[in-house]
Amino acid sequence: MPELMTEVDKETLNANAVALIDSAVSEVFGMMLGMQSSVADSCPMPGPEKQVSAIVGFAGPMTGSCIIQMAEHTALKVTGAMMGATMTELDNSVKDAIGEVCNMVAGGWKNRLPLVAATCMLSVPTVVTGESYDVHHAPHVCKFTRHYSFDGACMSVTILYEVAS
Amino acid sequence: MANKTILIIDDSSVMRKIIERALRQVGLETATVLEASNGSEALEVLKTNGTIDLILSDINMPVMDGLEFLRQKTSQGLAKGVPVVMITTEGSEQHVKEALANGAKNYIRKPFTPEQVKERVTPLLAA
Repeated sequence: MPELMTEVDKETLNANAVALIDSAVSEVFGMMLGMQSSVADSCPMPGPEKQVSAIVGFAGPMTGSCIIQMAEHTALKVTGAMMGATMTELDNSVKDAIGEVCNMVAGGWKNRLPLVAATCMLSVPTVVTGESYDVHHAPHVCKFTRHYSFDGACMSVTILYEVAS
Repeated sequence: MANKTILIIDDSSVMRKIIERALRQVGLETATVLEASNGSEALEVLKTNGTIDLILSDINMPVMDGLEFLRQKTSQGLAKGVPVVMITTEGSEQHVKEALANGAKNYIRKPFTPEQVKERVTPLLAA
């Protein structure tokens, strides 16, 4: 039976949640892509171009998900940086790589939250591609979205979470 | 460190390539790299390859995760004495303790640098 969080625990988590995702994204980009990322005001998705989203779920005393979204050309750039190669099409390698980026961002954020790091588990990533789609979630969960720019491109990270009480 | 054989277990083919590239950057240019996409596949690799020097395994994988792989490897008497290093996003103390209790020698948290791979892998191959 997982330990329940107190109201103080929850306030601590909420106070740190946003800053810690910035740190997690910066670490992933710096160590795995060799790129510096910085917080951006927005990350507009291009019109008809395909988007790529990856989702990793949280389970345990904190439930929810980490969603990263980027344009197709950005996914190619990110994958190319990870693999040291030039990617030209949205193939399985690109989907796999974006899933891994999401996994590392989700894990990095979760592991920075000492109150849930040990007991919260991650799902394997799910990757969605297509045009003009939305990701829906339960209305009562805590949610925040951060945008990041890097090497002339950008992506968005959305965290949805709810803690047991 | 010539002629080493290393088994990389990760459900992500991209991550397997990244780990292999990191190994080749830190002095293991000539290593033979075997791959498996989950613990179950890895057990089959161990049954048919008798000369593995090191195993690098993810924890969070479908079909059979890295912790169950460690338990099965031990119970089936496979790759006795071959060091296992976990490479995982699950970097919490609990996960690390569980992996070490099940026979892992060390762990590397994703994301990682080639230098971190070198620090944790080289002593195990030199031993």
